[in-house]
Amino acid sequence: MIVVNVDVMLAKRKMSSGELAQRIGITQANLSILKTNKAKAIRFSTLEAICRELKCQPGDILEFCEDEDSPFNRD
Amino acid sequence: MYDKYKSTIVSIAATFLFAALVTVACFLLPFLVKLYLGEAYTDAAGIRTALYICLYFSAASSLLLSYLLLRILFNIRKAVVFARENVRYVRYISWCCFAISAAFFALGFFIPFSFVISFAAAFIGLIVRVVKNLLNEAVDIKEENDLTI
Repeated sequence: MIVVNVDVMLAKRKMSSGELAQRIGITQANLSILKTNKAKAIRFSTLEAICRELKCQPGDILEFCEDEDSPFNRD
Repeated sequence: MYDKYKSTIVSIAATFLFAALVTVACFLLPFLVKLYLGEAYTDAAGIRTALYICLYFSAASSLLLSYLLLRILFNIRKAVVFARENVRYVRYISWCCFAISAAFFALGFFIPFSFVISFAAAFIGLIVRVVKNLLNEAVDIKEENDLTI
Protein backbone atom coordinates (compact mmCIF):
# COMPACT_ATOMS: atom_id res chain seq x y z
CA MET A 1 0.00 0.00 0.00
CA ILE A 2 0.92 3.64 -0.33
CA VAL A 3 1.56 5.38 3.00
CA VAL A 4 1.19 9.15 3.26
CA ASN A 5 3.84 10.67 5.52
CA VAL A 6 2.65 14.25 5.61
CA ASP A 7 2.95 14.50 9.40
CA VAL A 8 6.67 13.62 9.29
CA MET A 9 7.29 16.40 6.80
CA LEU A 10 5.08 18.78 8.79
CA ALA A 11 7.19 18.12 11.90
CA LYS A 12 10.40 18.72 9.93
CA ARG A 13 9.10 22.05 8.63
CA LYS A 14 7.60 22.87 12.07
CA MET A 15 4.24 23.63 10.47
CA SER A 16 0.84 22.87 11.96
CA SER A 17 -1.63 20.82 9.93
CA GLY A 18 -4.17 23.64 10.16
CA GLU A 19 -1.70 26.04 8.56
CA LEU A 20 -0.87 23.54 5.78
CA ALA A 21 -4.56 22.96 5.08
CA GLN A 22 -5.11 26.68 4.78
CA ARG A 23 -2.05 27.18 2.53
CA ILE A 24 -2.97 24.42 0.07
CA GLY A 25 -6.64 25.31 0.15
CA ILE A 26 -8.21 22.10 1.44
CA THR A 27 -10.27 21.59 4.57
CA GLN A 28 -8.75 20.25 7.80
CA ALA A 29 -11.11 17.28 7.53
CA ASN A 30 -9.71 16.34 4.11
CA LEU A 31 -6.13 16.77 5.30
CA SER A 32 -6.99 14.49 8.20
CA ILE A 33 -8.29 11.84 5.75
CA LEU A 34 -4.97 12.10 3.92
CA LYS A 35 -2.87 11.85 7.11
CA THR A 36 -4.77 8.84 8.45
CA ASN A 37 -4.28 6.97 5.13
CA LYS A 38 -8.02 6.75 4.50
CA ALA A 39 -7.73 8.55 1.15
CA LYS A 40 -8.25 6.45 -1.98
CA ALA A 41 -6.54 8.90 -4.33
CA ILE A 42 -4.73 12.21 -4.37
CA ARG A 43 -5.07 14.83 -7.09
CA PHE A 44 -1.87 16.03 -8.75
CA SER A 45 -2.91 19.60 -7.91
CA THR A 46 -3.12 18.73 -4.19
CA LEU A 47 0.21 16.88 -4.31
CA GLU A 48 1.79 19.82 -6.11
CA ALA A 49 0.48 22.27 -3.50
CA ILE A 50 1.72 20.12 -0.60
CA CYS A 51 5.19 19.75 -2.18
CA ARG A 52 5.33 23.50 -2.85
CA GLU A 53 4.36 24.46 0.70
CA LEU A 54 6.52 21.84 2.43
CA LYS A 55 9.39 22.35 -0.05
CA CYS A 56 9.83 18.65 -0.70
CA GLN A 57 9.46 15.97 -3.39
CA PRO A 58 6.43 13.64 -3.76
CA GLY A 59 8.71 10.79 -2.67
CA ASP A 60 9.21 12.51 0.67
CA ILE A 61 5.52 12.29 1.54
CA LEU A 62 4.43 9.16 -0.34
CA GLU A 63 5.95 5.78 0.46
CA PHE A 64 5.29 2.34 -0.96
CA CYS A 65 4.95 -0.45 1.62
CA GLU A 66 4.73 -4.14 0.77
CA ASP A 67 1.49 -5.17 2.41
CA GLU A 68 -0.80 -8.18 1.98
CA ASP A 69 -3.85 -6.31 3.26
CA SER A 70 -3.80 -3.63 0.62
CA PRO A 71 -7.13 -3.45 -1.23
CA PHE A 72 -5.20 -3.34 -4.51
CA ASN A 73 -3.53 -6.72 -3.90
CA ARG A 74 -6.66 -8.71 -3.25
CA ASP A 75 -7.35 -9.99 -6.77
CA MET B 1 -42.05 24.81 -14.65
CA TYR B 2 -39.80 22.04 -13.37
CA ASP B 3 -38.33 22.63 -9.95
CA LYS B 4 -36.28 20.06 -8.01
CA TYR B 5 -37.63 21.21 -4.64
CA LYS B 6 -41.27 21.23 -5.78
CA SER B 7 -40.78 17.84 -7.44
CA THR B 8 -39.87 16.18 -4.12
CA ILE B 9 -42.84 17.90 -2.45
CA VAL B 10 -45.16 16.48 -5.12
CA SER B 11 -43.63 13.03 -4.55
CA ILE B 12 -44.06 13.32 -0.77
CA ALA B 13 -47.68 14.46 -1.17
CA ALA B 14 -48.38 11.61 -3.59
CA THR B 15 -46.84 9.07 -1.20
CA PHE B 16 -48.99 10.37 1.68
CA LEU B 17 -52.06 10.21 -0.58
CA PHE B 18 -51.18 6.64 -1.56
CA ALA B 19 -50.71 5.60 2.08
CA ALA B 20 -54.01 7.29 3.02
CA LEU B 21 -55.84 5.48 0.21
CA VAL B 22 -54.42 2.14 1.34
CA THR B 23 -55.47 2.87 4.95
CA VAL B 24 -58.99 3.85 3.91
CA ALA B 25 -59.22 0.76 1.71
CA CYS B 26 -58.18 -1.36 4.71
CA PHE B 27 -61.15 -0.07 6.74
CA LEU B 28 -63.52 -0.46 3.79
CA LEU B 29 -62.22 -3.93 2.92
CA PRO B 30 -65.22 -5.98 4.13
CA PHE B 31 -67.49 -3.76 2.04
CA LEU B 32 -65.15 -3.91 -0.99
CA VAL B 33 -64.81 -7.70 -0.79
CA LYS B 34 -68.59 -8.06 -0.64
CA LEU B 35 -68.89 -5.75 -3.64
CA TYR B 36 -66.29 -7.74 -5.59
CA LEU B 37 -67.51 -11.23 -4.77
CA GLY B 38 -71.18 -10.35 -5.07
CA GLU B 39 -73.80 -13.06 -4.71
CA ALA B 40 -71.86 -15.68 -6.64
CA TYR B 41 -69.06 -16.19 -4.12
CA THR B 42 -70.64 -15.45 -0.74
CA ASP B 43 -70.93 -19.14 0.08
CA ALA B 44 -67.39 -20.04 -0.91
CA ALA B 45 -65.69 -19.19 2.39
CA GLY B 46 -62.32 -20.36 1.07
CA ILE B 47 -62.13 -17.67 -1.57
CA ARG B 48 -63.28 -14.93 0.80
CA THR B 49 -60.71 -15.87 3.45
CA ALA B 50 -57.94 -16.07 0.85
CA LEU B 51 -58.94 -12.68 -0.51
CA TYR B 52 -58.91 -11.13 2.98
CA ILE B 53 -55.50 -12.58 3.88
CA CYS B 54 -53.96 -11.57 0.56
CA LEU B 55 -55.35 -8.03 0.61
CA TYR B 56 -54.50 -7.28 4.26
CA PHE B 57 -50.99 -8.66 3.73
CA SER B 58 -50.58 -6.52 0.58
CA ALA B 59 -51.91 -3.47 2.44
CA ALA B 60 -49.35 -3.96 5.23
CA SER B 61 -46.58 -4.33 2.64
CA SER B 62 -47.80 -1.23 0.80
CA LEU B 63 -47.81 0.84 3.99
CA LEU B 64 -44.28 -0.33 4.80
CA LEU B 65 -43.32 0.50 1.21
CA SER B 66 -44.72 4.05 1.45
CA TYR B 67 -42.93 4.54 4.79
CA LEU B 68 -39.64 3.55 3.08
CA LEU B 69 -40.40 5.88 0.16
CA LEU B 70 -40.95 8.74 2.60
CA ARG B 71 -37.65 7.96 4.35
CA ILE B 72 -35.86 8.18 0.97
CA LEU B 73 -37.67 11.39 0.01
CA PHE B 74 -36.86 13.08 3.33
CA ASN B 75 -33.24 11.92 2.95
CA ILE B 76 -33.13 13.56 -0.48
CA ARG B 77 -34.40 16.82 1.04
CA LYS B 78 -31.63 16.55 3.67
CA ALA B 79 -29.18 16.21 0.73
CA VAL B 80 -28.37 12.61 1.75
CA VAL B 81 -28.72 11.03 -1.69
CA PHE B 82 -25.99 8.57 -2.58
CA ALA B 83 -25.86 6.83 0.79
CA ARG B 84 -25.82 3.14 1.72
CA GLU B 85 -28.93 3.90 3.82
CA ASN B 86 -30.92 4.71 0.68
CA VAL B 87 -29.62 1.59 -1.08
CA ARG B 88 -30.93 -0.43 1.86
CA TYR B 89 -34.35 1.25 1.65
CA VAL B 90 -34.60 0.59 -2.09
CA ARG B 91 -33.70 -3.04 -1.47
CA TYR B 92 -36.47 -3.32 1.16
CA ILE B 93 -38.89 -1.73 -1.33
CA SER B 94 -38.07 -4.42 -3.90
CA TRP B 95 -38.67 -7.07 -1.22
CA CYS B 96 -42.06 -5.49 -0.48
CA CYS B 97 -42.95 -5.77 -4.17
CA PHE B 98 -41.91 -9.43 -4.23
CA ALA B 99 -43.93 -10.08 -1.05
CA ILE B 100 -47.05 -8.58 -2.65
CA SER B 101 -46.33 -10.62 -5.77
CA ALA B 102 -46.12 -13.81 -3.68
CA ALA B 103 -49.41 -12.99 -1.92
CA PHE B 104 -51.25 -12.51 -5.21
CA PHE B 105 -49.59 -15.62 -6.64
CA ALA B 106 -51.07 -17.63 -3.78
CA LEU B 107 -54.45 -15.97 -4.36
CA GLY B 108 -54.17 -17.02 -8.01
CA PHE B 109 -55.11 -20.57 -7.03
CA PHE B 110 -58.50 -19.21 -5.89
CA ILE B 111 -58.96 -16.35 -8.37
CA PRO B 112 -56.83 -17.00 -11.51
CA PHE B 113 -56.82 -13.36 -12.62
CA SER B 114 -54.59 -12.39 -9.68
CA PHE B 115 -51.68 -14.16 -11.43
CA VAL B 116 -51.62 -11.05 -13.64
CA ILE B 117 -51.26 -8.76 -10.61
CA SER B 118 -48.62 -11.11 -9.21
CA PHE B 119 -46.65 -10.87 -12.44
CA ALA B 120 -46.94 -7.06 -12.51
CA ALA B 121 -45.78 -6.74 -8.88
CA ALA B 122 -42.84 -9.08 -9.52
CA PHE B 123 -41.86 -7.06 -12.56
CA ILE B 124 -41.97 -3.79 -10.59
CA GLY B 125 -39.87 -5.49 -7.90
CA LEU B 126 -37.36 -6.49 -10.55
CA ILE B 127 -37.16 -2.94 -11.89
CA VAL B 128 -36.63 -1.58 -8.35
CA ARG B 129 -33.92 -4.19 -7.84
CA VAL B 130 -32.07 -3.01 -10.93
CA VAL B 131 -32.37 0.58 -9.68
CA LYS B 132 -30.89 -0.65 -6.38
CA ASN B 133 -27.90 -2.16 -8.25
CA LEU B 134 -27.48 1.12 -10.08
CA LEU B 135 -27.67 3.19 -6.88
CA ASN B 136 -25.16 0.89 -5.19
CA GLU B 137 -22.63 1.53 -7.98
CA ALA B 138 -23.32 5.28 -7.70
CA VAL B 139 -22.58 5.15 -3.95
CA ASP B 140 -19.28 3.36 -4.70
CA ILE B 141 -18.30 6.10 -7.15
CA LYS B 142 -19.30 8.84 -4.71
CA GLU B 143 -17.22 7.27 -1.93
CA GLU B 144 -14.23 7.06 -4.25
CA ASN B 145 -14.74 10.70 -5.20
CA ASP B 146 -15.13 11.83 -1.58
CA LEU B 147 -11.89 10.08 -0.64
CA THR B 148 -9.93 11.72 -3.45
CA ILE B 149 -8.20 14.64 -1.83
